[in-house]
Amino acid sequence: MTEAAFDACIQRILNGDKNGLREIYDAYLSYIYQIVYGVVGRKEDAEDITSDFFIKFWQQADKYKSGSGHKGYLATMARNMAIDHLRKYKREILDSFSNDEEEGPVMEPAAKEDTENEVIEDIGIKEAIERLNPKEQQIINMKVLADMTFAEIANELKVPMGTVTWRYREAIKKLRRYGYYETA
Amino acid sequence: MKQLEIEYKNAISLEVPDLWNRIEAGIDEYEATKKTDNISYIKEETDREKKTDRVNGKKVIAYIGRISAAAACLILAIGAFNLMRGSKNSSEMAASDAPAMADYAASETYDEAPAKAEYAAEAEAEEEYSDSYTTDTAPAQDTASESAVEKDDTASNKDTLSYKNGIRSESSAQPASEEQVILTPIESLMIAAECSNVEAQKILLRLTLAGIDSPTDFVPVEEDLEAGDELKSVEGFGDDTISIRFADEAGKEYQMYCNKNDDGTIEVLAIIRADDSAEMIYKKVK
Repeated sequence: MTEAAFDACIQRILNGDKNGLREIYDAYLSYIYQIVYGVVGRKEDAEDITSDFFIKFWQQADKYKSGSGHKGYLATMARNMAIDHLRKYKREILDSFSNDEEEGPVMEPAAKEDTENEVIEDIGIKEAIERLNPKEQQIINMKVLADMTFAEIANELKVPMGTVTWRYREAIKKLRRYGYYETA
Repeated sequence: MKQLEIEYKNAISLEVPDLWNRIEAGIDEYEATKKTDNISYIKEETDREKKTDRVNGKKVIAYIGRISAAAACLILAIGAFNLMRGSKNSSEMAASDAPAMADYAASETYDEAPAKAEYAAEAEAEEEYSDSYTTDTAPAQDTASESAVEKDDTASNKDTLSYKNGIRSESSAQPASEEQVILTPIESLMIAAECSNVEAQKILLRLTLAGIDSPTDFVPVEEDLEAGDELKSVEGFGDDTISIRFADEAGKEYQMYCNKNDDGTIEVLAIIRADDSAEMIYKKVK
């Protein structure tokens, strides 16, 4: 969607026309859902937050400033809502990351040097991701789906950035063995 | 080789459910709440306005009640005074003969005996007035007007009035040359305490007699106007002389110079205009 088309949708929303929001919904539902899912990592939560996102966008449409890059605006808003949710309801995951600091970095070798490039099984991406441990899944989701930087992830999970990058690299190595490679 | 990011995003997109019904319901609920809030707000505002109107109505009624009470008191006071004065007059009439009164009226000379009797009666009334100064002073004004005894200056007898306890002022703006204004202790206290406009209006009707219309806003001041030798030559003017500034109905300001007597009264020495002209409009007789 172009900036002009997005601005037109905003105007329609401000005039109380739901079709303006519907067009934005059709264009960006997947995008928003991916970001939210990337942060919270659960389908049910992602659906709730995505719904709330569009309702909130309707309520606060007057706050959008034209020309500021609507896609970035939507992504930031969705990510913030998801992070707020995570802070409220997902303390246990954050706590588990905090425990890592006490225990020290967990070294979980994905594979031996000679086998790490070998594709061991051809499975779907969802299944491959699910085979990662929960901490790796969360970092992959945040990095790949929510487009968060390592620094942002470390900040949100309250763990050192070195731990985040380490886990990400380990997850990538594991995924490589199922035939999935990081985009260059 | 499969691209992790593309594959993963596509896979997630495929599982995105249709959330539009939920979103639309949420929006409808929000809009309904918004309308309800607006209605509640408007209702609250209306209720508040109604309440304010009721309170204002009560205030107006209370105000009217006070005015009515004051008017009733005034009427009673005038009636009582007139009754008292009527009995005095009848005794005076009995004491003095009719031809003498006729002569008095014809010659317009000052008859000291009736004047003294009247003076005594009015002094009594004034004392009563002073003790209850919060009531309207119209009777006092009546006293001043009705007790006016014409003196030797027959040409200007309408402009000159005398007041019972030594107060005698001119009703015109012309300087009084042979008059003296002394305010009672209560009046003096009220003025010195920066009395309200209403109180000042009541008390200082006498200053009206000195040619100042509806004096108001009495404020004791420390800084005096330069009135030159004329002011300094007024008898009694000295270091203890106090200065009080006030205004009249037209907004013109005056400076009043007074001495406070031992008995608490204030003796007005002079009144000058508080402007560049510093014109003296009242001056105590030497």
